[in-house]
Amino acid sequence: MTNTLRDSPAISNPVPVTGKAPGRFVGKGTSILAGLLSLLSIWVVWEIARLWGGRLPSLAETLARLGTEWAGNEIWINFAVSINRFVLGLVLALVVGAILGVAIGLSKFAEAALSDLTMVGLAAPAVIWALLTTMWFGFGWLTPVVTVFLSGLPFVVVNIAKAVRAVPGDLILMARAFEVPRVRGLSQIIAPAVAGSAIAAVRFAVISAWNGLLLAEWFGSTSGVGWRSRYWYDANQMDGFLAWVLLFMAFLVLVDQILLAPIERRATRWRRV
Amino acid sequence: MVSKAPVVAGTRPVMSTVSTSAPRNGLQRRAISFVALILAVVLWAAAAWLISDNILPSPFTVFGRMIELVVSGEVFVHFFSSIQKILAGFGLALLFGIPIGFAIGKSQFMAAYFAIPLFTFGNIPGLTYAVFGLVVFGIGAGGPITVSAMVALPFIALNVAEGVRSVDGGLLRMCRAYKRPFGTIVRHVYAPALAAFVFSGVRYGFAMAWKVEALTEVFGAGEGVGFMIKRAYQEFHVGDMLAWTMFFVIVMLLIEQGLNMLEKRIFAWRKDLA
Amino acid sequence: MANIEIKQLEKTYTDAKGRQTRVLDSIDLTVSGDTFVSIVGPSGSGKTTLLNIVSGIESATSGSVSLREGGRDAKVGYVFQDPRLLPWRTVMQNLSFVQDDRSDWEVRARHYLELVGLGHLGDRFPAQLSGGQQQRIGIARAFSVEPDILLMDEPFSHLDAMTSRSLREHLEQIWLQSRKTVLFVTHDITEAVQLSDRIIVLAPGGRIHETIEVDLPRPRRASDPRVAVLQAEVLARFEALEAAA
Ligand SMILES: Nc1ncnc2c1ncn2[C@@H]1O[C@H](COP(=O)(O)OP(=O)(O)O)[C@@H](O)[C@H]1O
Ligand SMILES: [Mg+2]
Repeated sequence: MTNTLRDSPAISNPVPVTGKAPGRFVGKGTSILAGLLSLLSIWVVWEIARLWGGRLPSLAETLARLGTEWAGNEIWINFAVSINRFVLGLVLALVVGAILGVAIGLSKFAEAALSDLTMVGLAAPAVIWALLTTMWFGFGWLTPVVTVFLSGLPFVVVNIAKAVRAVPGDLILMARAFEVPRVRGLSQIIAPAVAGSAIAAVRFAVISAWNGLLLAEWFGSTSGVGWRSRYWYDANQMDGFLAWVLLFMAFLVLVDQILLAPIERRATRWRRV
Repeated sequence: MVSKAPVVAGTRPVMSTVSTSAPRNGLQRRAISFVALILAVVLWAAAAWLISDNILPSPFTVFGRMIELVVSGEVFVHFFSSIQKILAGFGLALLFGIPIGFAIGKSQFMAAYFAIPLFTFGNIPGLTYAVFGLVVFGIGAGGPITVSAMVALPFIALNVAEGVRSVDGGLLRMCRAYKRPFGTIVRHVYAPALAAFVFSGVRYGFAMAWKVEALTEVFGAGEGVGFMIKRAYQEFHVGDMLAWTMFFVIVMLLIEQGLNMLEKRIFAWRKDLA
Repeated sequence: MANIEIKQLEKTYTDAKGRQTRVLDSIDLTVSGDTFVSIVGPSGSGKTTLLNIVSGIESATSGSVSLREGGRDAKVGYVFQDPRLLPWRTVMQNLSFVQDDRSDWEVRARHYLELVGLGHLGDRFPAQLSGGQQQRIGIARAFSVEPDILLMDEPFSHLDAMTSRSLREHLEQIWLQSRKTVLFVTHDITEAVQLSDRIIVLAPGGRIHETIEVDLPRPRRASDPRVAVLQAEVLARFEALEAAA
């Protein structure tokens, strides 16, 4: 394989998509109106799809089911279990991925040795890890944790390697010439330069790992959010399934908008002014 | 992460702080990479030998299975089936994605209007697509096709929008100064500017769509790569599953590489690719 | 003999909040025959806007512009401040893009490419050329449509001093050969004195502040003492204008 990580941004950035409207001026009122119309259209399309593919639930049923899940404490119990597994696998992926990524970014030898393997990791779909770990570890906690780890890892590696390569060598030399203290060099030169890719590493890892977690819990678990959504699917209650899908989305949006986006905005402010 | 369409990985910055004591030419690089792959296979073989259970077949068993699958032609049948569905899905995605992208690029209102659906399409966990594909379409080809279309749509639409916005106002004014007719402007200014963005959208969308399509087949299909993976799982046949996974990865990387080369060729005018 | 007649030209921009800014204010200008006219003025005084209106890219708020050649509308060539080449077309394709007369465009295009010294680069893409070469393609493009009127908007301002000097000499030579009516925007007084028959000074707010006739023999050298004297004089008036503003 002659492919290198740098030739293939496409598979290393799984979700270059956000809902952000273009950053130009549009009246607040107009965009709220457009948003409301948009939600209305989604509802209409959904109702039409329901007429046709009869097993789709109605939104009212779904919201009702969300209420009973809430009342029965299912939401908190399952999210607690899942987030536990998620954080464990993700932190592992971040630590291991950061080590490998730094190695790849710094040494051409490590890059030559590891980039093909990383490509393979990027190309393998999460469902493979979910199924394999289910076969290997059965219905224990290892199945989701290992799947989360393996689905997140390659994205961390690629983006951390990119971050390391973004360290501006010329600015470091400049700092040396002015005998700038090390700590200041670290905080004023290296940190800002790598921040963008480092946050991308976390973001892509979160998206990919969350996807992996859901699949692992779907196939190989008897608890957690993925399992709970399967429970409703197996019971042929699609309103329950959809209710959980809404929660999955909400979780991703929360992590992205409340945790990552503000950090990113701060860290990359200099690029946008 | 909005995809600034022709995003191409950056050039290597000067790393004067780091001493790199290693390979200068491509041959050496490839040799190291090859040795690393061999080493990975050896590790795998050792683990298989230690465990010595069907649960982790040795690499030789898996390679043997791969050869059998190639010889019997099964690989081609199922990959052909999956790729056909993806292509159909991409056709749909282009059909809807290009006009939507135009609307987003030209109008603030449309941008706000499509923000929520595109965000949703782009960020729903794959599991959701797979389940709804199965629920709405059953195990036919409709599910995977629709799912690939929906996964690829936001990539294409947002890239086209970016392309429309990027069409250089200076060039359009130049066209006016030289009184070019509208058809000429579309053909020589809009079309080439957008082509690169559409292509890039296809490239990004492909990797995602390919995975979600396979996942949809895992949940319900009569043929295709995902279906074969699912069957191996149900029969608890780890060797088969690894064999199909290897094929999946290889084909994905080959197609990625192919698209990559095609992009360099078609868009030879672009400096960042040169 | 091309003829430019601008009468009582006004241009006002209205922003989103309805505030109006006047950019050009009662411009009267007549240029006839093969005159090289420079327009100088501080940045923001409306030079680009004036050329854009003359070329038809923008419309005026009021007043009239007529461009005539003999009994017909004059043909216009425009050299922009940046090259504005189609990046996905080769140099020759870029020249082809602006041609109306398809019969012998290729001969013309080659001829002007030769004149700007880039005859051998017809098959390159713009990204494969230096900034100075791209700008020269822009000049060749403008000449290749054989315009009656040539508009140039600070065509050399993005280039280094060496390149811009050699391009300036090139331009003077080509112009001496082909003789067209030229409106040339610049903020460089040396350049204006060296090239022009007439210099029009725009004041902030877009009024014509004064018109200076330059009656020196061509080709002019920057080292010519008469050029230097005139330069100093124009510069002095320019400074007075800026001080007043
Ligand atoms: N599209 C526009 N909308 C509003 N104001 C404009 C626009 N274009 C130019 N201006 C304003 O018109 C004035 C003249 O601009 P321009 O003709 O580009 O000046 P010059 O070329 O002399 O530097 C400037 O103050 C500029 O801000
Ligand atoms: Mg200007």
